[in-house]
Amino acid sequence: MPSTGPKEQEQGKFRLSDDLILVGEKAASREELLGKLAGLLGQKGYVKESFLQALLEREKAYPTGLQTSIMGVAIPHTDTEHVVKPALAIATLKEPLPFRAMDNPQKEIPVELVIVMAIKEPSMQLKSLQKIMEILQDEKMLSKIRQAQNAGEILAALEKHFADEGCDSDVGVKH
Amino acid sequence: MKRVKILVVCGSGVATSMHAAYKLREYLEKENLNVSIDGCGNNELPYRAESYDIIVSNAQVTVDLGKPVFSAVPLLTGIGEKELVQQIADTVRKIGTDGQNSNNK
Repeated sequence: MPSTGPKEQEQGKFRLSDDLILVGEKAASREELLGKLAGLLGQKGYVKESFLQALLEREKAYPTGLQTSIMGVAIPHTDTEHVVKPALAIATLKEPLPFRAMDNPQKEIPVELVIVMAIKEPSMQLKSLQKIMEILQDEKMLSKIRQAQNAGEILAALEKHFADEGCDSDVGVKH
Repeated sequence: MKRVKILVVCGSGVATSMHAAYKLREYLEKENLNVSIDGCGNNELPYRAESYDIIVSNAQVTVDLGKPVFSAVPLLTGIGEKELVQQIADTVRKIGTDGQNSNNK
């Protein structure tokens, strides 16, 4: 897909970029990890300063850990008011981190993949959200992401998955 | 058969409930069931639940709503999805056919 550069991304699409992807990340806690991912989103202007606090509170009240067929995945997200432009920040973990299960907060799931979703307009992003949710059921895709050695590999896999609906990517473009 | 109303709930109503609702609708329409499906955030559940027949929630439901409650997580992960949809479809048929005895207002 040709790079769209720094010009306005199409409404409703999540921005994907190799500098929003962390591979084989080590973090002592999920708070630390979410802090890093929210930091990346903040530096690039995708989210407001209030995003991290809101993300942590939302995760506490409504956890997002999901046990998929091959590994634990968390999809933290929060209210749209803390988001400037839609984007995804992604981390694969060297050592799994415990996230509480979405349908049972008493249960912890060892999570190896975290996808922070900065959602701006849920109704316009429905298609994109669905493409993200499809990843959870796609074993091939999940294992490709888990095995990736660098951000570029994850980006390439995701770009293929989203084809040209769902996400804009700007690999290589510096802001 | 009367129309059965399903409410799909998630933590904030911005992401996962919409996806779960979409998938559920696809499945139930394939079964030719007469349903209407809405999504909402968990904070709206207490006052919206009353006008629905079935609740399907991504988040844990701790209050007793006096109606069938299902977990929506299988619709996200695919694990146990078929079984879940089957159970919901059965419940829809049951509620739809004893419409006259239903406590639906």
